[in-house]
Amino acid sequence: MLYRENGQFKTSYQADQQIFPIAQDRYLILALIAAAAIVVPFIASEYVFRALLIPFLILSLAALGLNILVGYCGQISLGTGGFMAVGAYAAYNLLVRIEGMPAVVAILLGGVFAMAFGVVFGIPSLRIKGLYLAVATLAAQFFCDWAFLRIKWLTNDSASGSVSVPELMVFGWNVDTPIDKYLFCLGFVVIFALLAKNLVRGHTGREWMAIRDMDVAAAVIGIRPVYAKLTAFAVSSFIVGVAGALWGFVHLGSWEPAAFNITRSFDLLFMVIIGGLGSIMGSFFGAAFIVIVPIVLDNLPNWFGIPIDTALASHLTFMIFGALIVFFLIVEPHGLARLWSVGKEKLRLWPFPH
Amino acid sequence: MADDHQAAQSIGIPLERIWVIVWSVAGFVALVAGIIWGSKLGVQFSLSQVALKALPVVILGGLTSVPGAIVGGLIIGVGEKLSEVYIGPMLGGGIEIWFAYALALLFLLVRPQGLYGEKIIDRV
Repeated sequence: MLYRENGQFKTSYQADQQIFPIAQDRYLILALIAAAAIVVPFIASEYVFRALLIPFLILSLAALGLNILVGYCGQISLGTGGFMAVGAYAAYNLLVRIEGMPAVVAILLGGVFAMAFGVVFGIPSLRIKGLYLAVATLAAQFFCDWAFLRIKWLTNDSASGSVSVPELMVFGWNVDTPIDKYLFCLGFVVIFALLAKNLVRGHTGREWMAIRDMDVAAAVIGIRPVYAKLTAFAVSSFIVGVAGALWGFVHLGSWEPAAFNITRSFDLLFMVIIGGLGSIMGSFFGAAFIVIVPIVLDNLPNWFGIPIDTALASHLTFMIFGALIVFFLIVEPHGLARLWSVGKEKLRLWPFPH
Repeated sequence: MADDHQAAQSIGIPLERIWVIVWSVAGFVALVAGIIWGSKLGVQFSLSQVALKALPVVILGGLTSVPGAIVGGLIIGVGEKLSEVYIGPMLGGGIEIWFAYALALLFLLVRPQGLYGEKIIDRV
């Protein structure tokens, strides 16, 4: 009903190989990006930017990175927080130690450092998998927690590893108001989401998926497991590192190692699982769920004028939130992205289902 | 059961009952561990993070092996404290938070099935 794909014939390879081959999808995505970039800055308040939109964007970027590793390549990782920390601290060091380093370059290079770190901790994945790999990545997580707390050089000799970033200048554009920060993050998220979308449908992404579905069979048909797994770790850690740098630079401004502890890793893993493994869209749904639902639950008593203690409210939030996660996993084990695609499928035929 | 749900069900193993037993036993053993830990070292919310250390223990000892869990627990527990005392000062201290995982990781690279675990064989 909403749209039909038939009648869209492709007459050139170029048209056939677009990222979004269906015209309506393309327009929808363009409209979404335009709305996010142009309309949202006018209607959202400062609180919404700070508490909702900026964390949502950065965490969905991190979830996207993790989804490449967990959802597409099937390699479980509990070290995401650590990779984010590497990205953030590497970008910080580059910015502070090198005179005249542009912030964007520092953030991207932070991603490169996280990539190197991720590849090193991805090497065990060549020999071990599943639960075993979870332990290997936990090692990465705890090692990072420790390193940024204890090795003074990494944090520019600041006490207890807490650092703060001076003002963020991007090619003469001072990113300081919430709107600027939002747009800055939005740019990163859009570019990386499109890159990831493009990557997972191509040669590399198909290798990852083959490894995920059955690694031995994939090796038999000529996919190099070493290459596929390590590229997945590299791409994933790069995106996660950039997200970490953004989280530190744009969202927090000043932070300490505890900002990237094991809870962050678990949160991101929840996002990926709830949103949908192996789906770019799912990362955004998952991040939205994890970021927005607790805030909405926290504010519900206020909106309805129910007199309730704030401590009690926050405990209730925890409980309801946990119950919701379990509920969603029981109702739809494949995540919110699956609900989305089921809904789309239904709407395509509605109201004449034949 | 762990090897193949469907095959287990088709030869008449009651899946649901086995799940109930497995989860209850796991919960009960963890409960005992929690009580002992709590009575010695006190109870606080961060206790939930202690359980993460159980992962390197079972992996070092080998999954599907009870003696493995005990030996692994000894190695990890003792190794962690000894490393803190002997290697810790060289690295700036506080290394016990990651030592267990690094130890398990190194061990896995040499012997992926752990100390007493079953050898894993891949088939297509």
